[in-house]
Amino acid sequence: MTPDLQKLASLDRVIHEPARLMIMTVLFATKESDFLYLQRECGLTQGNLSSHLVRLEEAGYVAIEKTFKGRYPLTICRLTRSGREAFEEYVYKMRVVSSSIS
Amino acid sequence: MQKGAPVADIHSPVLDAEQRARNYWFLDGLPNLVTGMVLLLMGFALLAGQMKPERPLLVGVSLVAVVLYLTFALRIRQVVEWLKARITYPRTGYTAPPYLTEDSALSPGRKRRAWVLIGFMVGVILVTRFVESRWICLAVGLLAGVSLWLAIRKSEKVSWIDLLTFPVVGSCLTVFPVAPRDRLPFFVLGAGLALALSGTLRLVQYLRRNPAPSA
Repeated sequence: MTPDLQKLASLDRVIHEPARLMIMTVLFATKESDFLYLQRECGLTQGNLSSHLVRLEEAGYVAIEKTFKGRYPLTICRLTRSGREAFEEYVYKMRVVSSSIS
Repeated sequence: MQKGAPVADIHSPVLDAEQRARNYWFLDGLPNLVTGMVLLLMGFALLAGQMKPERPLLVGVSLVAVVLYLTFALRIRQVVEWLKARITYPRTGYTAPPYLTEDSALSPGRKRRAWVLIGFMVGVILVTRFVESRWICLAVGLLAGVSLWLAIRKSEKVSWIDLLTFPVVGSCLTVFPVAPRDRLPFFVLGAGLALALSGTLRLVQYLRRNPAPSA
């Protein structure tokens, strides 16, 4: 196995899960998004999104803040610095692996 | 390939998500609607400034137009956010608006476009104010319409109302001529009316597609 291919084994498993990858992608692209926006963008159910956000928060990749815009309560999610770095690292490894496969 | 290279790439899901977030700001039509109202107030304020009203009522109305225009123009972002917090976020959620996600420093391309736009506006003001021929209004209207189309043709949210506004206003001012000093306010009023109309249509479509969530 080539060293490039061996990078597959070192992929971050927290991010590698498809639903969490979608969440990380949306949060990487936007400075911050609320629970409903993430739910609609990723096409996840409330329970599913909630459990994945908890997993990402436990990993220290996502910060969750409950706040208000006007009278509307918002659950704002944003990537932490380590979440941003982990996502960049993940994308870099995936690129290396995909270029060695193709 | 360098580690730490930009993640955003052609056909990248990140770029796609960025674009969707940027379009989301305009999805409900509220920014267009509020900007249109500001331009309408600005047009009325410009017209009011040129009138010499003799009746106290007209003086009062023109003063109200000027005060409303200044208030709205200075607080336009807060007004849009206030409306979105009550209409958009409960229905389809919140994501950071484009002015929070983009770098505050303008890129050279944007700076160049901003200067071209300012130059164009100054040119329009001078031409419509000092050239007597009424055909100049048609020429300016067509030129503004083409320039607008070139500037926003790549946007998904371009509306035919926005594109036809200036040519239509220019044609109207050619057929029904007004004094040169009144031309600019009419162009501003036309632009405001078009933006408010396209914003309203977009808002109605948005509200139909996204009814209020049940309590």
